[in-house]
This record gives sequence, C-alpha cells and structure tokens, in this order.
Amino acid sequence: MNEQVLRKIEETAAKDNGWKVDDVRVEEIERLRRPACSFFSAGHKVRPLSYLSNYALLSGTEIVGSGDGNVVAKIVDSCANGASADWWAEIVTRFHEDLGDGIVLRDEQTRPDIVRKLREAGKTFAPPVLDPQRRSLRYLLLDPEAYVLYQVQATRSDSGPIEVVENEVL
Amino acid sequence: MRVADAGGLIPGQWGSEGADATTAVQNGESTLTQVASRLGIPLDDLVNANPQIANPNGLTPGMEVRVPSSTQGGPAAGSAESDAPDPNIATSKRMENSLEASAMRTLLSSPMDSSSGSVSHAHFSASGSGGISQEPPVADPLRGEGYSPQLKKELTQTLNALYQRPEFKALSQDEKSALLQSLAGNPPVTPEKISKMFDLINSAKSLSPANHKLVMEAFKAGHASPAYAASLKKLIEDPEFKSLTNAEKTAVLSQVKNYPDAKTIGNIERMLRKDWFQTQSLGDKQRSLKTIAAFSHNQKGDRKIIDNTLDKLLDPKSGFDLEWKKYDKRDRPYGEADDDTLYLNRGIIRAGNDPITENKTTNHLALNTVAHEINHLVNDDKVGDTFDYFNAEYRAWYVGFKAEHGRPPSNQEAMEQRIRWQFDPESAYGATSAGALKHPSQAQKLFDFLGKMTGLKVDAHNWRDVVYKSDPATWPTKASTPAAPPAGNDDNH
Repeated sequence: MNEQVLRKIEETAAKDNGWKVDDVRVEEIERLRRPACSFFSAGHKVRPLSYLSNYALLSGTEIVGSGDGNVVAKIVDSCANGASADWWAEIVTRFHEDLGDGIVLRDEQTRPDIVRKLREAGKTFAPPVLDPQRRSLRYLLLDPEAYVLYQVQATRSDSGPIEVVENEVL
Repeated sequence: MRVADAGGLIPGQWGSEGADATTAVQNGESTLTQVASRLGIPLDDLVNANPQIANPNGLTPGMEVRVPSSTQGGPAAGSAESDAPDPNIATSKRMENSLEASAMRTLLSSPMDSSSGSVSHAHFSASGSGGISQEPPVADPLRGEGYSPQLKKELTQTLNALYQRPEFKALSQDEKSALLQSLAGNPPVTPEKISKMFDLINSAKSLSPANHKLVMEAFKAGHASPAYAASLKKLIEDPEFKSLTNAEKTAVLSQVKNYPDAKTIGNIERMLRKDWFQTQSLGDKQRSLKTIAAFSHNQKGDRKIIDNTLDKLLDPKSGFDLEWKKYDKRDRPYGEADDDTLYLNRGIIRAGNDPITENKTTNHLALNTVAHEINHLVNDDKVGDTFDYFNAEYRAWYVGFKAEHGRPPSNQEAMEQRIRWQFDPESAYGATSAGALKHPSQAQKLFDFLGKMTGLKVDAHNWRDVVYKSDPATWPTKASTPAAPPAGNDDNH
C-alpha cells in the first residue's frame, strides 16, 4: 500500500470521526480493487467500536468516503466497468449513507445460517442481481449486529444519483 | 326532558344485564315515530323494544316507552337531555343524585384493563423478537364481558360517591371523562387510588392546559395505578421538572404517558438531574427520554441488567454520560462507548414526543445497545489482539442480548449472531481476532472458547470449519443450551 495514500486516508478518517491519526488502523479491501480504484476500511485501534469507515481512492488521486447517492454514482462511474453484481452490492452498501454497514450475501456459503433461516421461512436465497443496463441492483444484506436480513433495491435515477430502498426480510 | 329512571343510565343496571331505560310520552306525541324522532333513534329499534305496545300510533301522554339498551349512552340519551324538563320530578332528582348521563356514557364505554381487576403495567410489552407491541383491547363492560354484577354494583356506587365530591365537580368535563374512564377501566376503585388521583390532579394544576391534558392521559395509560400516580405527582413537583421549559415538560410527560410505569418515571426523574441531559438540545432530550423510557419499560428484558444499566447511567454518583452522535451512515452503528460516554446514533431515533417508532433497528438500539455499550464502560474494555478483547466484545453482546430478551443466548444463537461476525476478516473485529490467532497462547484460548460452545475439539486446523461450516445440530453440546456466561462483569453491576 502506498504510504502517502495510507497516511491520507488515516488523516481523512481521523478528521471524519474525531479520532487521533495515530489511533487509526487502515486496511485495503483487496477483493474490491479495480483498475482505476482502490478501497479501504478505517477502524480505531483502541476503542471497542463495531464499525469501520470506508474510503475509495479514485484514479489514484481522489479520496471519497460514504455519502449520498451522487457519491455512490461517482464511484461506480469511475470504477464499475465490467464489475460483477457482487462488487456493485459491496459499493452501494459501503458508500451509500442510507444503508448501514453489513454483510452482502454473495452466495449461499457466505452465511449458511441465513440461507437455512430463509428456507425455514419459505423464502428463497438469491445472489446479487444487476440488470443488463446496470440501472437496477437487488441483493440481500445482513445487519450482523442486530441479526436482521434486508433486501436492498438500488436504482440509478434518471438524474444520476443511486437511490436505495431497504426492506426487512428476516 | 330527561331520560327517565332507569337502567343502563344509572349505576347497578349496566348493559345487557340491566333493564331497559324508559321515557314518558310527551304532550303532543301520539306515535312511536314521534318518540323515535325526539330520541334520535331508529324507529325499528324503538318498535322492537316495545312489543307490549299494540298500537304504535295510539300513544297517550305519560305512557312509558322502553328505550332500547343498544342506544343508551348514545345519541338517544344525549338528545333526551337537551329536551324540555321531564315532568317526572322524582326521576329528575334521582338523576341529580347519580352520575350525569354524559359522564356515565364515558364510563360505560371504558374498556376494563384486566378481568382480575388488578392493575397492569404491561401496556406495552416486548415481543419475542425484541419488538414492543401494544396489547389487544380487553373486555368492554357495556357488553357485560369482564365485569361481574357485583363488581359493576360496587364500581358504580364508588364512582357515584366520587362524583359528588366537590373537588371532582370542580373539574372540567374532559377531566371528569378521562378520570372516570381510567377508574372504570381499572377496578377496584380503592380509596388509595382516588386519593392519589386527586393528589396528582392538584399537582398538575400548575401545568399548561396541554401538559395538564397529558397528565390525565398518562394517568389513564398508567391504568390508574396509585403507585404510578404518586410517582407522576412526585415528578411534577420535582424542582428539576419545574425548571424545564414548557416544551421540555411536554417531552417528559409524553414519554411518561408512552411508557407508563412507576419505575420508568423514577428513571426519567433521575435523568433530569444529569448534567449531560440538561445540556442536550430539545431534540436530543426527546431522544434520550424515549430511549431510556423504552429501555426501562421493557417488560420482557432482564430486569437486573436493565436496572443495573440505568443505575450506571442515571445514579447521581455515576460518571457516565449519554450523547447523541451523527454518523456518516444513517442507520449504523447503533452506538459506541468511550471515555465514560455512551454514544448513540442520532439518525436511528427520531426527535419528537411520540414513542419510539418500532422496527428492529430502533428496538435494537433502545433495548439492546444501551446495555451493550454500558457493559464496555463498566469493564473499561480496550481493543487488543487478544482473547480478552474477543471475550469483551462477546460479553457486551451477551449482556445486550439478555437485556433485550430476558434470557441468555443459546449456543447456536451465540455462534450465528455474534461469533462468526467477530471472526469475519472484514468486520471491525476481524483484525483483532486475526491478530489473536497469530499468538499461540491467545489462539488456544479462542479454540477452548469455541470448544466449550460446540463440544467439538477445536484447533488451528479446523477452527474455520467449526465457525463457518459446522452444523449446530451436530454439536456434542446442544445447540439450544444457553451459552456459558462470559468472563467479566456480565450484568452491569
């Protein structure tokens, strides 16, 4: 990881969360990396916190954190070329301010316990689905802290931003 | 005229078990149609209630006509009252000595809170999933469900006596209605209950009309409980309450009404004294009030943990603060703990004087997170690549779970709802768990922990399979067995 980028993200996370820079721990999320973009999570080294802050490095220069639907649209416009529905679901989850952090259920092996509970409830598991025009995305998102499963519907509006609707499933 | 003596409108003859009321045919009336018109009731109902009248078009003044019971307390009685005075003086005197018809209508429509007559504080109760659901309405005395004839008789006698008291007569019609409804719905009406009610009314005189009304509504929501009324009176007379702005008083009384039990009032009163509450904005005060009230009022939660948690937060000697924080994501995290402060997510709980809007997110914050984060504070937990920190996070979750559900989690629930997340490399805990696994002594403690939970032999080669793939149904320990309590302070004492 580029030391300058690391330091910049540490400083941004510290500023965003009111932390000391030296207390910030940054990790790259390598599985989300795209040709023009890298993704990072930032946590606190000392406080017992349940959350991480997410940051994207766009075009090697610009750092953005979570925000509204325009921020998410900017990230996917910069990085999503050829990306899978799983990747889209991760980006929407991590960067859209209207969604809480959570675990995207990529396949049945991500959380077998949830797949079992879905079956017990007479429901069917489905992996993330992105329509061919890449304007609509649907996926299952687990809030691991409250152990609640949501279905997320993300839609690219005509004016540009990505809007999300979250419905409780389990 | 006034509705003549009788049943359905005076005590002792309620509903289907009492006789019908009667009315006298007035001068100028000769048909049931005219009587029905005067009383404002359907002609068919009046005809059906008077099979003894052979000729409905041949009535004579003074003849008694039965008023059907289904219309008593409704428009008929109201219309009758506004008519000319009843020539039957004896009947009028009897009415003056009994409850006013309008008040009695209120009383008759009051649902009984409990068939046993005992006072219930369980107006809201947590559901199995952690939700707070309102109980279904109970028996309606008008239909004779829930009240024995003896109870009806005693109740009406007591309320009649109450109605004659000057301090009751001095109340507004709305107040009378609210109080009668509260008392009639919560028998028995004991002298203590009436005494506490008047004490409360006197205390509430200093409030604005809107806040006074809230007190009346709270008394009803509190099932006319003397303990609740006494606590509410104490709150209203508390100098800290008196020093609040009118809007702040409304915020306090709203949650007293929304989460009606004496203990919750006590906790709200304690909160008023805390510096952290006093310095909050009105919106955050409203969030604090509804959150602490919902947490305190959780009937299905673990009472010991709830009370200990509230003591830690609200005791005068407590050094812990509560602060509402804006996060970059609206719905997560639920909260955090640091530097003796419990931080809660402002985006999850709306400001306002309504009760908490119930869903799994708001319930989790109010019923679980408060205890979870206070557990971190009482144990002074710090992050580290150690088993102790892994255990600290599990312990705080365990305490939150018990606070919300009133029972410990099962082995399966602990594994599925918490442990897997704590090992998840991309979770906030993943890095520290991975760090602990790199140290043999710490790793062994983690394997022992997993072995205790599952009954399986766990080591460096199979721990991932145990955490992510093992079927709880195949564990040597029963998946449904309560998980072992974690090390450390696990009840927030």
